[in-house]
Amino acid sequence: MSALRRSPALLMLPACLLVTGCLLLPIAYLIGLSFNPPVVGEVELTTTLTLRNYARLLDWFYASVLLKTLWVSIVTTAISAVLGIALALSLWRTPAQWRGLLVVVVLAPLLVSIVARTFGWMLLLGDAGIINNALIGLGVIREPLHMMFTQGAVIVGLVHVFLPFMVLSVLAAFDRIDPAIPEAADTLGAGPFTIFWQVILPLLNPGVAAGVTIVFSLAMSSYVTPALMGGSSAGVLTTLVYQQLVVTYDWHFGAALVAVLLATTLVILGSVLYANAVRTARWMGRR
Amino acid sequence: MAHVQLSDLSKRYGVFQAVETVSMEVQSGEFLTLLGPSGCGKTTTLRMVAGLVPPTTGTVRIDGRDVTALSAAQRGIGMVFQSLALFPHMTVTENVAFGLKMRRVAPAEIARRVRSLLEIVRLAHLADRYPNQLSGGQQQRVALARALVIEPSILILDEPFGALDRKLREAMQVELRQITRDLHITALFVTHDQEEALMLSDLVAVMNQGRVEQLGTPQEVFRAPRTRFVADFMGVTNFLKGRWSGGVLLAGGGALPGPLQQVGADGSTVELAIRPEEVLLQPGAEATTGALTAAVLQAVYHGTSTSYTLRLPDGQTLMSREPNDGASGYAPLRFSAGDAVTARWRPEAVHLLQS
Repeated sequence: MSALRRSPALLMLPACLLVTGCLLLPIAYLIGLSFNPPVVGEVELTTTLTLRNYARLLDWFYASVLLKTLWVSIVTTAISAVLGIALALSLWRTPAQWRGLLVVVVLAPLLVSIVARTFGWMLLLGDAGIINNALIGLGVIREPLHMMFTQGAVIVGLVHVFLPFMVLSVLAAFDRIDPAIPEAADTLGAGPFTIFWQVILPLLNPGVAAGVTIVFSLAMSSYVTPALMGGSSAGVLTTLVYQQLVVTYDWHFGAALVAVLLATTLVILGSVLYANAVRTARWMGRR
Repeated sequence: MAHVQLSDLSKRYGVFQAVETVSMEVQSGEFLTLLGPSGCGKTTTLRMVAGLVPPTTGTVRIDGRDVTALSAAQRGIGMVFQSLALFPHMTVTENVAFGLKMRRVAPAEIARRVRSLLEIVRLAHLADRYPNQLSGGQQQRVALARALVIEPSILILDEPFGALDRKLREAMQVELRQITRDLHITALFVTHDQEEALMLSDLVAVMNQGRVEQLGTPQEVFRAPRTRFVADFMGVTNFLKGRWSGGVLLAGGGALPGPLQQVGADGSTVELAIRPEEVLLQPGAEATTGALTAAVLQAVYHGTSTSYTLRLPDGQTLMSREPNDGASGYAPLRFSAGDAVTARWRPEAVHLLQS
C-alpha cells in the first residue's frame, strides 16, 4: 500500500498493460505486416520489407473507397453536430424534472441492438417500406424511391447511433455556461438568434470538439452499419478490410488498409482539433 | 438619469410568494439598495425591474412610462450580474462594445464610446485582453463598463462584489459610488451586507420574506429601525419588552428614561430596541427615575471594547458595550460578574418597534 501511495504511476500500470497488450501491440503487429510482401494465407512477420501493399493503394478504386469513407464520416459528423446541438439546446432548456427522462430517450438508440435497428430502418426506408408506401398512397410518387442500401441509408444509420455521443458532449458544454451570460446578452439588446450565434455557440466549442472527435472516429471505423445498410454499392474502408482479411485472406494488403484508415483518421482529427485549439487558446486558457 | 417607480409589485412561484406588494420610488440620480438575507426577495425584485422576470402583479414605471411589458433591452437597463457574466470569448473591448453593436451604433461612435468608458473604469491599457486574463477587480470593472456604455436609464447591480476579497471590495465600492455620482446615474443595488448598503446608498430598503420592512436613508434605518427584523439586521442586539403607564414606559423593573411618545393605551405592551453602545453603566444599584438597576452576568473583553451582559430585576437581559479608548483602555475592567450596576441611556436611543 505504501509503495502505491508513493508512486501513483503504479496505479496506472494495469491500465497501461491492458492498452499495450490488447491495443498497441496488435496494431503495431498489423502495421508491421503491412510492410511485408503479400503472401496469401501468411500472417507471420518477416524481415523482408516492401512498399508494394501501399503501391496498390494508388489504384483509383481504393482511393475512391477512401474518399467515400471520408465523405460518409464527414457528412455523418456534420449532421450529428447540427442535430446534436439542437437536441442539447432543447434538453438544456427543459425543466430539470423532465430532463433525466429525455436523456434516456436520447440514449435509446444505444440500447437497441444493431440488427434490430437496421431492420427497423429497412421497414421505413425499403422499396416496399412505410415511407414509399405512404408517398405512393398519397400519389406523390409512382415508383418507389430507392433509399435502403445506399450511401444515404448508411449516413442515416450512423447518425442514428452516434447522435447520443454528440448530444451528451454538447450538453456538458451547455451546463458549463453561466446562465447569466445569455441574460446579460439579453439586457444588452441581443435577440434570441444573436444570443445563440454570437454568445452560446462559441462557448459550446469544447463540447462540439469532443463530440466531433468521438463521432468522426466512430464513423471512420464503423463496420456493421455500412455493411448491413449500405449494400454492395456503398463499400467503405472497413468493409474492404474485412474482405481482405476474411474473404481473400490477404492480411498484408488488409493491414495496409488498416494503417491508411488509422493514419487518415488521426491526421484529419489532429489537424482539425489543433486548428481549433489555436483559434480558441487565448480565451479558453486558464480560468 | 431616470426616475423609477414600483407599484404593488408581486411575484409568486407556485405556492411560494417570493415578493409581496413592493412599492417604492427612486428619484433620478439616486442610489437605492435592497438589503436583506438570502431568500428575502431582493434579487427577484431587482430582476422584475430589470425585465428578466415578469411580475405576477404590479407595475414598473421608468420616467412615468409603464414598462412592465417591455423586455430588458427595451427598458434600456444596464445590469451587472452577481457572476459578472462577461463573454469569455470576447476581449474587453468586444465585451464593452456588444451592447452598442446590438443597438447598431456606427463603428466610429462605438470605438469612441468604448474608449471613453474604459478610461473611466481605468482599463484602457487592457482593452485587448480576454476576461480570463484579468484579475477579479478588473473583470468587475469590465462588467460595469459594459453595463454603462449603453447609457442606461437605470444601472442595476446584483451583489456584484460578493466574490471579491474584503480589501478589493472596499476599493470597488468607493469606485462605484464615485462613478454613479459623476455620471448622475440612477442605481439599484442588491446586497446582504449591511455595511455595504449603508456606505453606498442614498436610500436603503430592508427586505424580509418578500416585503419591504423599512425604506429610508442609511441613517434612518441604522439609527431608527422600525421593526425587530430591521433592528436585528442592523446589528442591534438588545430587545426589551415594556408596558405603557401614563406616558412612561416600564421595562426591566423600572421606568425608562423619557420623555417618550406613548403609542397605544395604558397597559399595552411594546417591544423596544437599544444599541449596546448606548447603554451606559455606573457602579452601584441606584433606583432613580430614568435608570435601571442590574446585575452583571458576564464581562467580555473584545480589545477595542468591553461588553457586559446584565440581568435586569424582571429577568430580562441587556447588553452594554463600552469603548476601551483613552485611559480606560489601560485600566482593569470596570465590572466583573456579580457586580451591581445602574444602567441609563439617552431617551432617543430607545427604538419602539412595530409588532
